[in-house]
Amino acid sequence: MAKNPKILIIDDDEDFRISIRTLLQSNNYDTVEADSGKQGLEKIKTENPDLILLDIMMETMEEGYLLNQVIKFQKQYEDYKDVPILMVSSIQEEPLSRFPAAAGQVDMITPDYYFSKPVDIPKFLETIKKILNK
Amino acid sequence: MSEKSFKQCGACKFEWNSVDEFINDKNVKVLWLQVIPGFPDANCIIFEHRGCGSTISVLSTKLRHLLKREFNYTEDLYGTDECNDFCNTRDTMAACDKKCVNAHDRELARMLVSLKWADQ
Repeated sequence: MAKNPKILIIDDDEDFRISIRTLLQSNNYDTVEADSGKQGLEKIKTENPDLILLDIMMETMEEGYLLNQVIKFQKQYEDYKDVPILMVSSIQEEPLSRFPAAAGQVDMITPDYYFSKPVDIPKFLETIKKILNK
Repeated sequence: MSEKSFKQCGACKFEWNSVDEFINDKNVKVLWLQVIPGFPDANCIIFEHRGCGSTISVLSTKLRHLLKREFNYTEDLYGTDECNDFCNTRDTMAACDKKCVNAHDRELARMLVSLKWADQ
């Protein structure tokens, strides 16, 4: 039997993780969770996810972007740099526009995919399906 | 987060000790409802913590007692042909006439928006 794709949810908000976990598991995805960026980086190595759902504002305002940067560019995460990252946040404007200084300073990259909270569920599930079928 | 605390902001670590304290805080703004199709108890209301700008989600089961109106609908119409698609967007907060299991949480979100309107 084929294994379900595994999705790592990195979000410091337990209630939102419960909602998204319920949604994903009911759509035949396995989920693992991290409640901080630091824990997220550990779980990427131990769980080897097929997709990462990443919150932006956690302990710091731009933690999600920093994490994105680490995963895509740091040598110790080289094996995981191709794991797609889907950012989920309440920010409705274009990703990064809220953090122009940080973006300019460290040349941050934009996320692979981006969704605003509340998430448009049909589009969200369709996007995940497309990403994982690539 | 201390055991007695209702909610803690993930970014600035501010704690609210009770639902009332959270709901009545002028720095807490309602963003909207997140519906989870087929699992109404996993629906949540999404708030923004003004000042730090972070998002705070609260499972609607923790807030449903705030709405006195009764809804006894059991069918989940979200995403079906009958659905008005109102729950899917922040663009409309209009009342929805559908007899859907999510109607209670939608009205709850609308009530919270009205309650917080003066703070906006």
